[in-house]
Amino acid sequence: MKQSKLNKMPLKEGVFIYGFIIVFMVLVLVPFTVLVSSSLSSTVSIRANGARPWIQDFSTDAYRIVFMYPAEMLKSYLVSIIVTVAGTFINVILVATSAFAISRPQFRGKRIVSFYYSFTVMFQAGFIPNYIWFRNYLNIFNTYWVLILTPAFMVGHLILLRAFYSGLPESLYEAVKIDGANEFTIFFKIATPLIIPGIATVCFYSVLTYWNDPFTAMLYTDDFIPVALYLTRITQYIEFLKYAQQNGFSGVDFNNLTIPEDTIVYAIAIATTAPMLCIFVVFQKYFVRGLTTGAVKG
Amino acid sequence: MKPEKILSLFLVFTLCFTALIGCRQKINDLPMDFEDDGKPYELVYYLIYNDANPPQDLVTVQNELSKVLKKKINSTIKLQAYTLAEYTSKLSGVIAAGVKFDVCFTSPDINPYITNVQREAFYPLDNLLPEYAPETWEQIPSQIWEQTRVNGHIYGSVNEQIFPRTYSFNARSALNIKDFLSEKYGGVSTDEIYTLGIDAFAFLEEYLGWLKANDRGNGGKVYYVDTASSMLAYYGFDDLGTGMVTPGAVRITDGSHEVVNQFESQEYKNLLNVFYDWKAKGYLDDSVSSFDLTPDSTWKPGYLSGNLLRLSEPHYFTSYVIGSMNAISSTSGNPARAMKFIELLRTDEEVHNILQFGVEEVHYIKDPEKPNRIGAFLPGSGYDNKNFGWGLGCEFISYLLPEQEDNQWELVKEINDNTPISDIIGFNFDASAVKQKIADCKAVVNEYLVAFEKAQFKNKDEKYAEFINRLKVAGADDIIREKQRQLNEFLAAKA
Repeated sequence: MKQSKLNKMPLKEGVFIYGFIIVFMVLVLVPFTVLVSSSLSSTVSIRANGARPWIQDFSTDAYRIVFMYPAEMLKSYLVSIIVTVAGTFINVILVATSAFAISRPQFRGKRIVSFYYSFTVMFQAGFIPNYIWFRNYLNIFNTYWVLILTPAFMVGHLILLRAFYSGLPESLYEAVKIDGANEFTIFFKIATPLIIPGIATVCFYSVLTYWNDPFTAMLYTDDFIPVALYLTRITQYIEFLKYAQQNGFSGVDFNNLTIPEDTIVYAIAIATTAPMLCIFVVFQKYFVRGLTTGAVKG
Repeated sequence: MKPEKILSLFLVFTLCFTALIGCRQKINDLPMDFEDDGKPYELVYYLIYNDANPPQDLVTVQNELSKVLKKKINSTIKLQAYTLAEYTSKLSGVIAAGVKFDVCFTSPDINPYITNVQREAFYPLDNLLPEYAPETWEQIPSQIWEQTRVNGHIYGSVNEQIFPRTYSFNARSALNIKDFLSEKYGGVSTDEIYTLGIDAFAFLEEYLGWLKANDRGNGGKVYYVDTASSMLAYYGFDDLGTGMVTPGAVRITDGSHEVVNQFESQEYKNLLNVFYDWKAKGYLDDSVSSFDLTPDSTWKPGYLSGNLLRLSEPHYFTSYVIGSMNAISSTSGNPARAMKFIELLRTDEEVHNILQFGVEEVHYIKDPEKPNRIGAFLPGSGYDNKNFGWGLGCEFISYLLPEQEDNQWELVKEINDNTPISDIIGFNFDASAVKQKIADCKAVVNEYLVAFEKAQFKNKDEKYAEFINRLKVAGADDIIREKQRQLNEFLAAKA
């Protein structure tokens, strides 16, 4: 349908719209191209000329350091995948059920509950109390659980989903209730399917949060190293290499090695974002659908 | 309930909860003496690992060390290694949660010593040291033991390394310092340059000028000097243990023991002029984040290929003599055994080198000709803590690295022994009376310092006056007065 409309569009308008889209696409693509090309350039040329959207003096030094220990790298990808999948699932279940409950007008305690949630955004316990809580009381220190549960309830997502649920008409629920549905049926069969775009958005943000979080693992585990932490340590390793080179330490053959200190950040960015890009392709259609659904229903 | 009411209820709850967290079991009544029953015991040691990633093969090291310790002190050991960058945060959690462990690393900034003593995390060592670690107790000069005392008690066993610090500059190998020295100074070594009696800053300026003129180093573009306030150490200020960002330092050169505001000194003003001069000449480039030329205090003699430019005589600074210590946890089940382990770390070559280099043939091979020299590290072996000899107990019993000279440890010992111990070593500043003022002053200093050192202010003199003025408002003079009072008391007690 869209296709036919565009075909009917006058030439002038078409040029304008396509031109705008192309310009916008270039604006978005150029930084990404710079990222890819810089990660494949040599650090000397980057230092001399700055980052450019084309590859200067091709070199894979940065990737060689990032993938120095392939087994470790794969293990950390695995940790990240497990944590992200399980975490996102738990996050969505928790947030969706809570959001649904506090969106219902007949729920009496909803003000207090909402306040309780928003209170945790403003006042947080901080590292030490959390550490004691996880290690001495919950006994989840240095397990997958601490990585999954620590960021599991995100209040921002709750607010987003509550808005989605509140947008659904109460009369819809009443009609289903007359047909004999209970609250669970309403939640799973009626309300949630109608706000799939909202759920998808929350899923996407949740995946990002889990994937890009090095701190939980650094503070609360010893042996579970997700990709984000692994790559943070690579940057420290570069600092360490620089120091070793300055002081003439042994261990690495420094004579022919230029430490890829400037290009390593680009390679790290690629190593973290590449899996995210694949996920975005999967989620993308829901985003588009989300926009159109909103428009049609009004 | 009204929202206001709920809010106040919540506040009460949080306050109660925070107060409860503050309560930990008081351990003031810990016995100072501890009888070792001689039964088998498992020590837990939080090892600091000097690399970016924790070791992959810690188990082999742990088993080997357990075997050795079983024979020597009837103990086994459980190791947990944390990297230098993560050690402080990891240990602060461990200590707060009251986890049972025996030995950990501590220093003024990594796993901070004073903070942890105040948290009562460490076991007092006054009686344990002479009884269970007699060699350690004998060999470290008594002034240095004085420096470890907090409220009269020793809580850390000092690791032997290079004690006096030397003002030096670290030049990246890309900067061709050796070419410069051979071209202009007839090839003197980086260690000897200070013997020529030239002023360090004049020398550095000449070097920077040479770099620029010859278009050397990163395309002739980048000469970033990370100046930091540590440059003041070159002028001979001792910060009395509070760090250079807190006002109140003593000139060590004139022996007057007068505490002054180092930022008001003529030396600091000169320093600023130097930076602005360098900026005008184009030597400082603050658009670059990586450092090519940095001040350094870790210089030690006996490296075959050092890039550290030594620019001054060594000196004992109060903040550096306790730069590396081992402490026993107050949660330890057998502090006496832990003390024996610390003694072995310091005196037993086998124990020390297992922790530093791992297991022979598995992680490294020895030099076939010299018994106490490393021949090669086995690539991908999963354990390599070679750069952490200074933090394990006694660097002088480490095997030598390929780039170290045969007599390096004799040279270091010579510096330790021959440098006169400054008469303010042993002074510990008790900051409790001026805590808030120190925090205020630090905030002011942090606001100005970097911009001054990168020569970023256009109206330098105006900003400098403003800086000094705001320091005074924040209470710099009170801190200085307090430092002077305590220093006078310390000197009077000593005399």
